[in-house]
Formats: sequence, structure tokens, C-alpha cells
Amino acid sequence: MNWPLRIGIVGTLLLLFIVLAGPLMAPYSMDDFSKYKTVQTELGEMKTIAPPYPPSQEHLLGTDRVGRDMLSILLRGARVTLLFAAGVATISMLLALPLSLAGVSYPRTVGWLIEKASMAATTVPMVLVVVMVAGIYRFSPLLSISQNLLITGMLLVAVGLFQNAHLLQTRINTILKYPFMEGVRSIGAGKVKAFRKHVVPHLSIHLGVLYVTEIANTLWIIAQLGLLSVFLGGALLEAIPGLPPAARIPEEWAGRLGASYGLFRSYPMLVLYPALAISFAVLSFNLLADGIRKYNERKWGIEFK
Amino acid sequence: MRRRMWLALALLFVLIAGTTWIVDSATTNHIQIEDVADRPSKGEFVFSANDYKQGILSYLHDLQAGDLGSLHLFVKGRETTTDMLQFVLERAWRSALTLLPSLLLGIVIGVGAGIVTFFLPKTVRQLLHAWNQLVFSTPDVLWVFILILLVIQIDQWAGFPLIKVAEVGGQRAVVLPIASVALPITSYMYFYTVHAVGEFLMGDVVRAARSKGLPGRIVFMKYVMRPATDSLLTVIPKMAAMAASSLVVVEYVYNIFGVTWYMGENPKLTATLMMALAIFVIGIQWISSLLRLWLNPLLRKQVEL
Repeated sequence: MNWPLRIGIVGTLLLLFIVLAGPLMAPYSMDDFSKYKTVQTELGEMKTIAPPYPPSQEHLLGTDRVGRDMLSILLRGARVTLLFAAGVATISMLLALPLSLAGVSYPRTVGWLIEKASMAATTVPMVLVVVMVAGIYRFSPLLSISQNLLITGMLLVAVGLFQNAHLLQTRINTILKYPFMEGVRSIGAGKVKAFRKHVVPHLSIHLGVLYVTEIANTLWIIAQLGLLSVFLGGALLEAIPGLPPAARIPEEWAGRLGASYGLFRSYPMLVLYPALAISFAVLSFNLLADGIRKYNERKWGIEFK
Repeated sequence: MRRRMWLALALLFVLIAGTTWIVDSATTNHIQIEDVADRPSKGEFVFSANDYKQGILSYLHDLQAGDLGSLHLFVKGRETTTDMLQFVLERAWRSALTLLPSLLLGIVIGVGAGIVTFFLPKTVRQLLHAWNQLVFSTPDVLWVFILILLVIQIDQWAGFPLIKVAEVGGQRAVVLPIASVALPITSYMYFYTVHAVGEFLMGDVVRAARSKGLPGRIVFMKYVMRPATDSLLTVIPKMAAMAASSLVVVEYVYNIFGVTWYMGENPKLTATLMMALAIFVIGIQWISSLLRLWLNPLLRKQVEL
């Protein structure tokens, strides 16, 4: 087993554990926030301080600007952030596979369209397209959180779909040109059987690598979106007296990044903690994808670019 | 056996996920989600598809006539009218000052590091590879923050603001934004170069040239770098699109009023700005295609045919 695969597996298992048990391990809920705290100074005087509080025994990573525990935010946020990314990648793969098959079957129409749409998708940054479309609905209070998550997810699937389909289409075309496929055709095997028995096993490794990479890419985009104030689940940008402002899912990592961004110069760790959490996830998934690719290349002697 | 193992693992995962969900629900330690307190009724907002369609048709009509329209801006409290094209060109120029040098710098450093790797001792090579893997797998958002913190630290050591967003030591230079955009590109280009050079280094042509006694430098430049450059030129448009994507974050964080800053402000302006970005990426595609034609005689022959 190669090193990227080992590190990738450990990182992914750790993330999986946090997704499952994060909320259970979190010492505080999202409703636990304190606006002010009275502390004793070195001179013995009593002083009232406002959050964000620095790391202490009470709050290991400190608090955010309304006094919520940062560690709890990260532990709870893993579930919504990572499941969203995995969900987007799953739907993208489920749609890209039949689309790529249609592209292979009808290369002059569907195949051509996929290729051109994929090229068009690379000319404009995906994050801009999402920000522009999200601008129509993101502040709408008419949408519930789940509706908002669904629309943002579909939007992310749509912007990356043709590129994934094009990659798969190219891969299937390469497999179809292998000499053993000519052999399969010459002995009269049907299209479905040839696909199931000979294309799918070769494609599965590539599909796995692409799936894990897509999770990392989705996390990368939602980090950028969070910074640009497109939060998963929508956003409450106005402060309601007595209630903490900003994201509607307060623990979501990318939203946390965007909500704390204004305080970066004064309290950099408020921004760096969620940024590091997302980066750790992206790094783990990228290393896992790289490791799977290298492992199979070495095992089968075939290149999985 | 393998199928059974995967099935057992999947069942174990479902079991753990189910148990966690039940325990979460029983202890009411589920993720708290904020909701909108004063949700408006469904009929309060009406979306007019007809108005939207009219807007698009009007824009396309003006575009056909070569008129991009004008913008109403408030400058120092006064309303002024500016030509849209003029406005976009000014923004594009500002963005180009960051985008083009960073693309060039990223490509040169990445390709340079990729070539140098083959002449380095194993330990240094592994270190360089690990560094690039880290940069490759970490979101650009984190690198932007790390670079800002690094600059703050340098300024503190210097005792005065040595590096600013658009200044270095009193001289006008957008070093910080350029470095932020260029950093991910260097790692991508490094990996592409290592892969491309590695592929051609093992070729029969190289072995034959070496056996004839040709100097190593000539063999490397003529039989390795020349075909590898053709492969590298194909990924440059992808790098341009990636740089444009990073530019969104960089312009937002560093307050650069470039192309991406005004996205979403006004639909007509957004469409024109998107076109400017697309023209940039397509322009890079053309340049790289022309360079490939110049380098690759086989491609030239195909075009002539």
C-alpha cells in the first residue's frame, strides 16, 4: 500500500468517525452562546469581556463572536458539510455515467454536446456561475433550509456534470479501443454483456477515483462559496436582537468561514479553524483518490489518468 | 470473498450510522438549525417570467447592434452614467494585472520545478513532491489566508508595512494577489511536468539517442522537453480557467475592483463581465493551440490535410 493511500484512508476514516459521532462528542450545542463574561484581571479587578473568547479549559479552541464553542461548531459541522459534498458527488456520478454512455453510443450528437458543454464549463469559473444563480434565491426567506440545500446541491451538480461525463466518456472510449474488446466483439458478445463483463470492471476503478476527487472538488467550491457568503442552507445576514446572526446552519464549515471572515485581522483563528477543517477534508480525499489510482496502477499495470 | 467483505463493511457502516442516529435523537443532541422567524406567505413574492424573458431579449438585441448599454453609478454621492464597455475594459485591465503575471509565474515555476526534480537527490525530490502534493490538495482559500498572515508577520519583523496588497517597499506591485493565484498553478504544472517528462524520458527514442553518444543536455532538450512541451501546452487553458476561479476569491479578499468584483450587481453588467472572462480563457486556448501547431509537426500536417 502506498503512502498517499494510507494517509488518505486514515484521514477519511477520521472524517467518517466525526460525521457519525461528532455531534455526540461536541461539548456544547449551538444554542449555548454567551454575549458577555465577567473575569478577574491580574490586578484583581473584575472586568466584563465580550466574545470571541480565547482557548481555555472551558473552550479548547475558543469561541466564535457570539460565544459559541469553536470545537463544538467543527464537530457538528462535519456532518452537514461532508454529507452535502458526498451527496453532490454521488448525484453527479449517477447522472454522469448514463450521460457518458449516451455520449459513447451517439458520439455525433450527445457525445459532441457533452464535449462542447464540458469545454464551455471550463471557460467560466464554476464558482462564479453558482454565485450568480444563487444570487436569485439565496436571500429568499420563502425557501426552507432543506429546499435551499437541494437547490444549491443541484446547481453544483449541474456545473460539474458535463466535465465528469466527458471524462467518463473519454475513458469508456479508451477501454473500447483495447485489443481485448475487439476480441469480445469478434466472438459475438452482446453490447450489454460486453459492457457489464469487460467495461465495468475497468471503469469501476476510474469511477471510484473520480467520485472521491469530486467530493474534494465540491468541498473546494463550497469553501469559496462560503467566503463569498453563499452559505449552505441559505443565509440570515441581518442580526436579530438577542439571536446570533449569519448562517442558517451555524455549524456548517464553509458558512462559518464566510461568517467569521470580517474578523480575520483581529481573530485569525476564527477563520483558520474552519478553513483548516475543510483543507484537511480536501487533502484526505485527494490523497485517497491519488492512492487508489497508484495502487491500481501498480497492481494491474494500467495507467488510470 | 471480496464482495462479501465489502458487503460486511457496508452493513457495519449502516449499523454504526443507525445507532448514532438513534442515540443522537434519544439524547436530543441533534444538530440545531436556526430558521427564519418571520417567514412570509407564498403569495408575497411574485416572479415574472415574462419580464425576465424581455430583459434577456432586450440585452441580446442591444448586443446584436453592438451596443452594450450604459451604467448608472454613484461616484462621491453624484449619479454618473458610464459606457458599459469602457467600464468593463477598466475592470478587465485591473484583473489582467493580477491574472496574467500569476498565470505566467505559476507556469514558469511549476514547469521549472518539475524539470529540476529529475536532477535532484532522492530526499530533496521527495520533499519537493510532498510540498506540491500539499499545495495541490489544499483549497486556495487557505493559502490566501496563510499568505496574508505571513505578510503581517514579515511587516512586524520589518517594523513597518513592507508588503501591502498593491505595494512592496513603497513600489507599486501586486505581489500578494499574484502569489495567491500563482501558488495552486505551480503545483498543478509541477505534476503535469513530472508526468509528461517522465513519460518521454522512458521512450525508445531517448534510449537510442543516448546510445549514439549524444550529450545528455541535447537529448533532454530535443527528445524529452520538446514532446513534453506539447503535452504541457494542452493543460495551459485549464490553468487559465483555474486562475480565473482563484481570482474570484483573491479579488474579494484583497478588495481589488476587478472583473469578478461586480458579478451579480447588475444582470447586463454580469453577462458582459462573464464574456470578458470567457474571452480571456478562449484567448489562452487559441495561443496554446497556435504554440502546439508551431511545436508539433504532426499536428501541422493534420491541419493541412
